[in-house]
Amino acid sequence: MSPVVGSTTIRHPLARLLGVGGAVLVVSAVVARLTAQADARAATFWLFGLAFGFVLQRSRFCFASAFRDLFLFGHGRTMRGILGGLAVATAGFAVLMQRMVPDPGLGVIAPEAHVAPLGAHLILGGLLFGVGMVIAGGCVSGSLYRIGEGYVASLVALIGIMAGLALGAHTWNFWWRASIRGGLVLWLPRVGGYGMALVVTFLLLVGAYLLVIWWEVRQGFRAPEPVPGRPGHTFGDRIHGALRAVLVHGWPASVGGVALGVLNVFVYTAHMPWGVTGEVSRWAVGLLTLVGWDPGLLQGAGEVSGCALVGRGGSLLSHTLTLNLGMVAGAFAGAQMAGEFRLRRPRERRRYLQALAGGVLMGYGATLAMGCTLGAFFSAIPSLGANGWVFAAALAAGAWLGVQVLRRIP
Amino acid sequence: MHRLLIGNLVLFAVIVGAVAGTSAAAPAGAPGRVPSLVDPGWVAANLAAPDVRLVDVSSTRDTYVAGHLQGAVYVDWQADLVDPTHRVKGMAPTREQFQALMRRLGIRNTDAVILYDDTSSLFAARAFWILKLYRHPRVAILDGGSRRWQLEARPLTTETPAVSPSRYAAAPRDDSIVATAEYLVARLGEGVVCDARSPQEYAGLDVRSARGGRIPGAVNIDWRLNVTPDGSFKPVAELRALYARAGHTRDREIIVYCQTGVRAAHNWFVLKYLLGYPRVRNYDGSWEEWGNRTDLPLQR
Repeated sequence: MSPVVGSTTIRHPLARLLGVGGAVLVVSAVVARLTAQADARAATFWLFGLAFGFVLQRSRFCFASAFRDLFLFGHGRTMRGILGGLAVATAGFAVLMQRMVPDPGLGVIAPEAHVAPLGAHLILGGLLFGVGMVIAGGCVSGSLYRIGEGYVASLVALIGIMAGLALGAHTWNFWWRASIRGGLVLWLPRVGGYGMALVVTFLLLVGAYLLVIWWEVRQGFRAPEPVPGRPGHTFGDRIHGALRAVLVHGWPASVGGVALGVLNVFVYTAHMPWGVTGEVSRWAVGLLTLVGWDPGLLQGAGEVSGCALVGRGGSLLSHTLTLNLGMVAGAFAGAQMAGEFRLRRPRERRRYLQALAGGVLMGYGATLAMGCTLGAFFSAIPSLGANGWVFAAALAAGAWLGVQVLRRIP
Repeated sequence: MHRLLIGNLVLFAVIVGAVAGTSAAAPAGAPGRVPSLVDPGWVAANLAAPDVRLVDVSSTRDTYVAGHLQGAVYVDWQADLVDPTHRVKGMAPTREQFQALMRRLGIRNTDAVILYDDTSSLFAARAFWILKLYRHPRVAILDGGSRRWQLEARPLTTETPAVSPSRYAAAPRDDSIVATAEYLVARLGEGVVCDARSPQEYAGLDVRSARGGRIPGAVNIDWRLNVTPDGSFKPVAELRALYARAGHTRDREIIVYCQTGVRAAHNWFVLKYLLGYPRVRNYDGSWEEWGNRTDLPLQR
């Protein structure tokens, strides 16, 4: 864990806000300047990355622990936050998609929506990803934001993820022919219009929420009482209190989840839903090519939406790159402002191995599922694709398996 | 004197051709006629005919230089198929500009022009519309373009054919296949307005003019819905069902548009030549004009 070190809390949060904020502004100006030629969207997506990373860090929003904690500790605090975020994003996505494709029966799926083919690949991908994220102790977005907080093991997990994606790239064509190509693409609005799709999705979200509450009660989990804040009187007290609440204290998972849902609607309005794995696969395939192990043509990968593997090509300085780097930077800025950043090495060497192995499983799983907990889940359910729910169920089963594995590790 | 006589003869041939073009109901294989859409087998069989001229309208000249069909000449859709003097970007060339182009390419009024590209017939359809705008009688698109040609393992060449300029005489514009902003404004709410752009442009989320949005009442049929993943046109029955679902029926006048009238020409080709709808117009100014004019209504 990361206790707030006494000496760092003495500094006024306003001073930290100005210091870190100033540095963020300078770096952002440099990023905007560097990427202006290559990709007009890159600067905007850098800002989105900062916002996502900041929220993830402030609310300790970890998709892996959301699933894991249900089985390991019997509580679903983060999971309830995720469900809140999904509800917000579902409503926003539906408004956007309805504007772009007013008649979903025409045979068009809303552009950029994360609607992927169903099939064995999706279930296997979810299982592998679920096991991997629990063993590694964080999913892809979790690893990115923890790198920003200074976790060395998360860097190792990211290397594992890239290795898994590289393996995935070399077997993609097999999976494409065997399962993905022929898979049913089920976009709920096409079946019964947007209204029906919204009703079904909200019913499922409410059902999942009730299931989490029921599970927590069964496991004997008691929600902790909220800590009362220090009441302020003067203007200075009020500002200080507000800054501490945002910059120093961790946010409740529900606040983080809803904030991420809102950001996801914004980023889709700007261009596309939130996703990180496609870009990480671009790094992996790029490195493979450098060492002469080019996976060749990835059949059909360009046709499926969501975070399918991205082959070579395109400018390095793309908006997807700045989104991912922005997440690391945003988490770093958040940790700095809270006085939480420091280089953290795990106590046991074995943690590195765990991170690496879990990463490989996640990378391969994300290849099959065409996305991670973001692209194939957090952005897929609001896209009103059936694939989001199938992946979520497999992810939960995989997380349960992962917890069994964790319990057997001495 | 002699030249004038030939010129008149050519003009006569154009008029005869135009009349034949409007009266005959596209009988595939009839002597002297070409179907509007031909497959690679047809092109391979007719490649050597002296009155068959292949025109490569690929996205870039580099594509043409890297390899093209035997005897094909290159037309740059961005430079050759526009009127550079027009205040609206990307408008069709004037009659004089079009005539000069055809002469430079050595195309005669009696030639059958076979168009193809590397982009699912997007630019071929625009060229087709322009040839029809100046009433060229014998025009066809090679279905699937160079991509399908190569998939069928047919040969390409890097040889540029030697071309001697022709004495092409362009006919006056066929105003029945083109719409202006004023024509559209006068008929808003009457026929079908078909938007061939992407759903993002249609929704006003991807803005490529001063204003984003669509012409009031427009229905979105993204031109990419006309083709299969390999770049060939979808079967006619499938296209008919798609357009009918969106309210496009043969008894209604249909005006298609996009940003500059290129993607719209693809939908226009499908409606007019594959489905055989009688009243289909391409609004050439498209969103490039509509979105940049502040006096025209829009919907978002």
